[in-house]
Amino acid sequence: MDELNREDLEPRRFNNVNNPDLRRQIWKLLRTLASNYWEWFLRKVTQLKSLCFRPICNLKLSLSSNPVSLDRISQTRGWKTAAIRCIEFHPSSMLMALLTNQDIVLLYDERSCAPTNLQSFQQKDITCAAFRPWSLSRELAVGCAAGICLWRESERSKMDLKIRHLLGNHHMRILQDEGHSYVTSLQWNEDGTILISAALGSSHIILWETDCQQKIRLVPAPDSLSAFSLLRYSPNFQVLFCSSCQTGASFCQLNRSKWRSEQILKRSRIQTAVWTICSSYLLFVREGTTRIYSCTNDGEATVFLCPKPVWTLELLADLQDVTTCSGQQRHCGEPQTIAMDPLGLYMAVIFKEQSFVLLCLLVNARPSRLQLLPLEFIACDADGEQFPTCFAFGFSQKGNPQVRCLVIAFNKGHIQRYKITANSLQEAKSIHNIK
Amino acid sequence: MSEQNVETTGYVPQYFITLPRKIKKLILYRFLFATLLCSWLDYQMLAIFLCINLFEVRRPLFSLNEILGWTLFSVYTSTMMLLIRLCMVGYGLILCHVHYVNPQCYPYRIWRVVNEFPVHICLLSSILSVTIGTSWLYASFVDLIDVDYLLGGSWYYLITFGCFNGISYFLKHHGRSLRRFPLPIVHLDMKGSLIQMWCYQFRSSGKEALVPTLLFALIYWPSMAYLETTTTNGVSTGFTMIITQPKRLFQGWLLSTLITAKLHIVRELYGLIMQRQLSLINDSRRLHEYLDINLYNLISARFQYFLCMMRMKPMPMGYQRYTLSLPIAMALDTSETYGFRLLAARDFYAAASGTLCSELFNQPAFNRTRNWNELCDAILEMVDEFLGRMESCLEIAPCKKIFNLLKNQAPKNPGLRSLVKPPAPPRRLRSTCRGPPKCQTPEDFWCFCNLGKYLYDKILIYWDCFWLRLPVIPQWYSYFYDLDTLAKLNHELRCGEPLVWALQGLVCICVTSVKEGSFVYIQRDLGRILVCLLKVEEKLISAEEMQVRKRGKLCSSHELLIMAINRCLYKMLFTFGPHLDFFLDDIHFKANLNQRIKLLP
Repeated sequence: MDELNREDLEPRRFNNVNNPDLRRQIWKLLRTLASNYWEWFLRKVTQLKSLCFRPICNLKLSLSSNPVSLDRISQTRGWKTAAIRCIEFHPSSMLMALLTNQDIVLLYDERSCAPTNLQSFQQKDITCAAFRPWSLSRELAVGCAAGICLWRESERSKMDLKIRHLLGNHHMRILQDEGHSYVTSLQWNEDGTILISAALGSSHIILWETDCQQKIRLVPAPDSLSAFSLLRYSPNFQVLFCSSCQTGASFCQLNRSKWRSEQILKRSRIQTAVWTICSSYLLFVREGTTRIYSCTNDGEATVFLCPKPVWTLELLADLQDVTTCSGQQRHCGEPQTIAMDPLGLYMAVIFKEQSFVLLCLLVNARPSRLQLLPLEFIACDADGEQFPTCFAFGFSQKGNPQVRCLVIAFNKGHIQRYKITANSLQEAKSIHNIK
Repeated sequence: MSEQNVETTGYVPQYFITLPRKIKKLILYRFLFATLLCSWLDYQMLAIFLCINLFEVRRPLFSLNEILGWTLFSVYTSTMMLLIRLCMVGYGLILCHVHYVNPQCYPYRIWRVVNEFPVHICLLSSILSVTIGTSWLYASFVDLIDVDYLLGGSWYYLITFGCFNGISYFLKHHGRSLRRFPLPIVHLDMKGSLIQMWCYQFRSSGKEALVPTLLFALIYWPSMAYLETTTTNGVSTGFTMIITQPKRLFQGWLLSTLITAKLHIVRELYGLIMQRQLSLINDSRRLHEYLDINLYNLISARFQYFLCMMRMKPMPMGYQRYTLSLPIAMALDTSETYGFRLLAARDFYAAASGTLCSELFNQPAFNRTRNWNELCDAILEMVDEFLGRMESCLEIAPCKKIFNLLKNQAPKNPGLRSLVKPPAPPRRLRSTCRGPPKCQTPEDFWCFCNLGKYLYDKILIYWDCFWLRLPVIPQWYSYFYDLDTLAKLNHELRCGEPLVWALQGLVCICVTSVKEGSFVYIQRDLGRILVCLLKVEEKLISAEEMQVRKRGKLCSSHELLIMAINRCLYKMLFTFGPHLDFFLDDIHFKANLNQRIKLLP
C-alpha cells in the first residue's frame, strides 16, 4: 500500500517542480517576501535615524540662532527697531520693567521718580524678562543672547532709598548653558523657586533652580528638532504651553513634582498665545491667520482616576474686520500679540499691520461658551505716525489689586497708559454700556 | 559636631537601625531595584563591547551564537559578572552611606581628611574592584582572538588601563569631597530618565576617554617595549605600536568609554532610584510606625489600586497603609537619616501644592484635625530643634572678644584712627634679646661666651634658607590647620537644610487653605507659624552678624534658608496681612508684623 502511494506521489512531485506556474508563484512569493523585508529594513533604518537625531539624545544640531530669527518669532512688533522691546510687570506689586533696544532695562518703582537702569556688557539683544514672585529683593530675569541675566537688588538699597542711585544697588549673575543662546521666553514657577527658559540655540527647555545652582534640560517635543519661541505657564501653574519656532506646540504637565509632555498642535506656527485666568482655556493665533482659537482640556471625557488630558479646539473670533460694541468698524488683520488682564476680564491685541490696539472684554460665564466682545480701538495719543510694539497689563495702585492699567509702548518710544477699574463683568459691562 | 558620631552596630549604621520599619523596607527595596538595574547595565555594556569587537559581518548568525555562548551561557562570564556585581553593590552601599549620613563640618581641614579617610579608601577600593573586574572580563574576550600574554599584549594593556581609568575617575569625582545624590528638580518618568542618562553619559564618556587613551598609550607602549626588549627579549613595541596597531588603541578607548560610562551611570542610577518621589499621605504616623510590609502586601495593594482605578474611586486609606506610602510627619521625623529627611521635605513641599493639600482639607473633621496637628507639630518641632542648636552656637560675644575684634578692625577711611592703640609689630626670633648687655661681645672675639650665639645664628640662617626653599610646607600646614571659626554654626545650618522645603510646604498649605476656604481649620496655628518664621529669620540674621564678627564664611545652606524664610514671610504677610486681627492677640507682635507688611515690595 505504501509503495503504491509512493509511486503515485513521486511523479506528481516531479511534475509539480517542473510546473512553470508554481515556479512563478514561488518566485513571486519570494520577491514579495524580499520586498517586504526590504521595506521593513528601510523603516527600521528610518526609525533608528529619527531616534538618533531626537533632541533627547542631546545631539548638537546647528539651530539658526541669530537676531534675524528673533525678529521673525518675537512677540514684539518690529523687535529689531522698536524702542521698547518688552514691558513686564511684577506679579504682586507696581514694579515695572521696560526693555529698550539699547539693551538697557529700566526699572520703574512707585517709591522713586527716576527709573533704575540695569545694564551690563554681557546683556546683548535682550528679548524678554520675568520678575521673580515672592522675592523680597525684587529679582528680575532678563533673557538675552548670552543666556539669562539675573538681577537682584542688594539688601542695602532697600534700607535707604537715597543711596540707590549713588551706589550700584543691583548685582547681576548670568545663567548659561551650552547652546542656550538667544533666550526667547522666560517663566517663573508659582513660588519663584524654578525659572524656565527657552532659547533659539537649543531644542529643549531648561529648568533652573537658581538658589541651589542646579538645572535640568527637558524636551517638550521629542520628535521635533525645532527651538521654542514662546512659553506660557497656566495661572494655576500646572500646564506649560511651549510653542515651537517652526510648527506646532506642546502642552507639558509641569508642577513641582511631575513632568509629562504632549504634542497637541502640529499644524503651522503659533504666533501668540495667552491663558485665561481660570486656567481652563488657552487662546492662541496661528501664524498667517486672523482667527483666535480657544483650546481647553476636557478632562471629563476620559475614564479612570488618572485621566489623560483631552484638548479640544474651538474658534473664538475672527479679527479680519472688527466692529466694537459702540458700532465702530475697522479692518484689523493678523494679530501680533495678545495680553490678558490680571483679573481675566479684559484682553488686548496688537496687530501686525495696524496702528491701534484692540481692547476686548472676555466673557467667561460657564457653562456657556467663551465670548470675546470688542470694546474699543486705542490709538497713539502722541504726534506722528506710530504703531504699538508691545504692551502689558499690571497693577497701578499699591494695595488695591482692583485698579489695573494697560501700558502700551509705541515704536518711537512713546508710552501710553490706559487705566482699568472694573473688577467684575457686570461693572465692566456697565462702564462700556453693554447690555 | 567635630567628631563623626556614627555609631555602628555591626555593619549596619545606627541611623538605619533607628528608622521606622516601613522606611527601612522602602530604602532596602529601592537599593535592591537600583542594584538590579545596575546588573542589567553590566550585561548591556558587555554586549556592546563584544558586538563591536567580535561581531563578524560575513557570518552574523555564527558570531552572534558565539557571543551568546560566551556571555549568557558561560560559567566563566557568569562568575565574573557575579563578582563585578558584588563590587558594584559595595560601591552602591558606600554611595548610599555618604548620602544618608548626617553632614559634618570640621574646624580643621586635617580633621576632615582624617575622618573621611576610611570612606575614601572604601570608595577607591570598590571603584578599583569594579574596574579591574570589568577590564579583566573584557580583556579575556579580546585575547580570544589575539592570544598574547606578553607585557606588550592586549591583556596587560587593557587591565592596567582599566585600573588607570578607575583611579582617574575616583580622583576626578570623589577625590576632594564626598557628595550626596542631588535633589531632583522635577521627577521625570523612569524610561525618559534612563534614556537621557544613557545618551548623555555615553556621549560625554566617549569624549572624556579620548585624552586618557592617548596619554596612556604614549606612556604604556614605550615602557613595555623597553621592559620586553631588556628582560624577556619580546617584540619591540613602543611608539610604532600606536601607529601600526590602531585596533589596540580603539579597544583601549572603547574599554575606557565603557568603564567611565558605567561608573557614572551606576552613581546616577543609585541617585535616581534612591531619590524617587516618595508617596506621602495624610495619615496618622502611629498607624504606620510599627507596620511591617512585605512583597505580598505590595502586590495585593497594587491589585487593589487597579480595581479602585477601574471603579474611578480613590484607594481606601486602609489599603494605602500596606503600600510604601508614608505619613508626612513620619517621613519628616527622620533626623538621623539626613538624605532621606531632605528628600521627604522636598517631596512634601512638592505635594503641598498638589492634591495633598485638598485631600487634607476634604478629610472627615477628626482625621483632618489629627493629621494637621501631627504635621504642624512635626515641622514646628524641627524648627524648635534647629533654633535650640543655633542658640548654642550663637553665644553672645564676651567683652574680650569685642576688644579683640576692635583691635583687629582696621579703620575704613584713611583719615580716621583706630579706636584701639595699634599693637606692636611682631618681632622676629633673631631680633629678640640674646641676653644681658654685658654678654654682647664683639663678633670677631672667639670665646665660649659668644660660641652659643654664633651657633644659634648659624642654625637660624640655615633654618631660614630651608624655610624659604620650602614655602609649600607652611602653606600646606596653614591649609590643613587653618581654623574654621564657624564650623559649628555651619554644621547646624547644614543640618537645618530640610527646613528650607518643610517650611515652604507648610506655608503653601496655609496659603492654599485661604483659596480653598478651609482657613478656619488652621487659623489657631497661624500665629505659631508666624512666630517660628520670625525666630528663624532672627537666628539667620544673627548668624550673618557672626560671620562678619568672626571673619568666617557661612555655608550655602544659610543662603538657601534665608531665601526660603523671606519667601515664606512674604507669602504669609501678603496673604494674611489683612486678617491679622482675626488670629493674633499680641499687640506688639501685630505692630511688628504691620511694619513688615509696609516694607513688602
